Amino acid sequence: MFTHKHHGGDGDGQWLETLTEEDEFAVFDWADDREISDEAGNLYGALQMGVDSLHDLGTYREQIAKFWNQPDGLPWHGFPVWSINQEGPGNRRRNPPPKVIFNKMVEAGLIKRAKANRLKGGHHI
Amino acid sequence: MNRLSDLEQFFLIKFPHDFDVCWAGPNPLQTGFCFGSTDGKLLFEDAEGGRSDPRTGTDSKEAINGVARTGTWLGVSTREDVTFHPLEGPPGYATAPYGAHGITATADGYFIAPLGRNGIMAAPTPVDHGAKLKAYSADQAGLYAYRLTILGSQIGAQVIACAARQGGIVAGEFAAGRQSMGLKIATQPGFDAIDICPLEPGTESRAVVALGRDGRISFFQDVLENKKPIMMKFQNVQGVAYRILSSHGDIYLLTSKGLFVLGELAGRFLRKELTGGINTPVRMSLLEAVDANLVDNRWLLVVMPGTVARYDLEVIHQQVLDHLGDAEIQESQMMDGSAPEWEWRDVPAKQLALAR
Repeated sequence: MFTHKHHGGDGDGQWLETLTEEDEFAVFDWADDREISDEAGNLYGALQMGVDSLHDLGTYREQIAKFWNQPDGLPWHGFPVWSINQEGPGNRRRNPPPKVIFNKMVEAGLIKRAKANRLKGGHHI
Repeated sequence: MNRLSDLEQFFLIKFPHDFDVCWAGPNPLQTGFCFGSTDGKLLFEDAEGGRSDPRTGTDSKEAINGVARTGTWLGVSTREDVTFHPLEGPPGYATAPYGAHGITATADGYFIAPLGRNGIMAAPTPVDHGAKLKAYSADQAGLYAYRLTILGSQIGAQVIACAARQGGIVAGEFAAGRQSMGLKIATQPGFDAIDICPLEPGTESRAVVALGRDGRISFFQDVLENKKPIMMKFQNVQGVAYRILSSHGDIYLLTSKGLFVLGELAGRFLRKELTGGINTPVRMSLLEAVDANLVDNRWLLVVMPGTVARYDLEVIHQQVLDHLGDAEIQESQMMDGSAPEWEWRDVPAKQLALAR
């Protein structure tokens, strides 16, 4: 589902304006096809850029997007997630993807171990 | 067959299978090295190669991305939190629940860490559970504190220079106890600043080089004053840029494809010898790296999965000097004269209280 909440703003989880709706669906498919999910069933997707990098997805260069696990029948919606914990005064908790996500990406052959270790450190690839 | 441009000489540091190394840098306790793992452990190695047992660096068990020391305190950063360990006195530690992209320290007892959208954190020591940590930022879209360095060696006269992604380069004079910090921001459209390093570390020089994610590098004679930095890109430098470091007048560039040495490039910039007719020797080592750091201006540590490659900076520099004129390894740097001018602005820093 394409939501206005995560488009055109400046703050948490804003998709890059240059990404099309099709791109966003591709990010979801990337996660869904390989079952890149956390313990709660939330999916984490990305867009490959060549063999060893990922496209930026968010306005703050986020490279991974999270899609909330939804009950059957409800549409999924997603947003770019921070690479580090961005908790701040008055903010809700803003967790980066758990490490298991990067391990699953390696197991699925999507990224190599060196890239996974960079992402675990909060770095870009 | 190896080419002259290949960096052949390095030593591989190995680790136990249960220590998945992801960070390497100077040993904050004595001469030697320190290593961090993807599950939040630290391992210290002395100059003779003797090692400590792995010890906990952070309760979050996240991957270590920085270690620094100031006085009798050790700071450890991860994408989840920053942990402050006292090296003396009663055991115990304090944790700031803010993710960081790394950590460094000033000469006068502050830990400084880039916190992304939360800005630049300044944590005075001693750090206790009641400490009020502060972060400096500015109300500007795109500003994201990603990697930073401290310039200047004297107490009270230090400058923080930060690569702030699409927000450009942010710099400001930092003085302990001062309630606000004036920031200068330099931006150029399309320049995604992902790292910055001093050209003359340990001196009062404010000369820096910044790295864009696309591999463009930008030299500033004075990060607080320089209006027209020199920007360039090398065709031989391939891959997504990760890290830039400078030692002995050479520039070290780490990318997704490998390690590249741009011989004497920093030295020539500082001596104002960088002109259109000058060629730069480019040497390389193709590898899959995680991160890299300098140690004591003597070693370069390049982290790879399961191992760390240690390069001798003095040996590399001597090789650079020995082959400075060899045609095989030369490249003419592309001066980016067509790039738009950098835009400079003074902005008041917003100070956040990072209450815990």
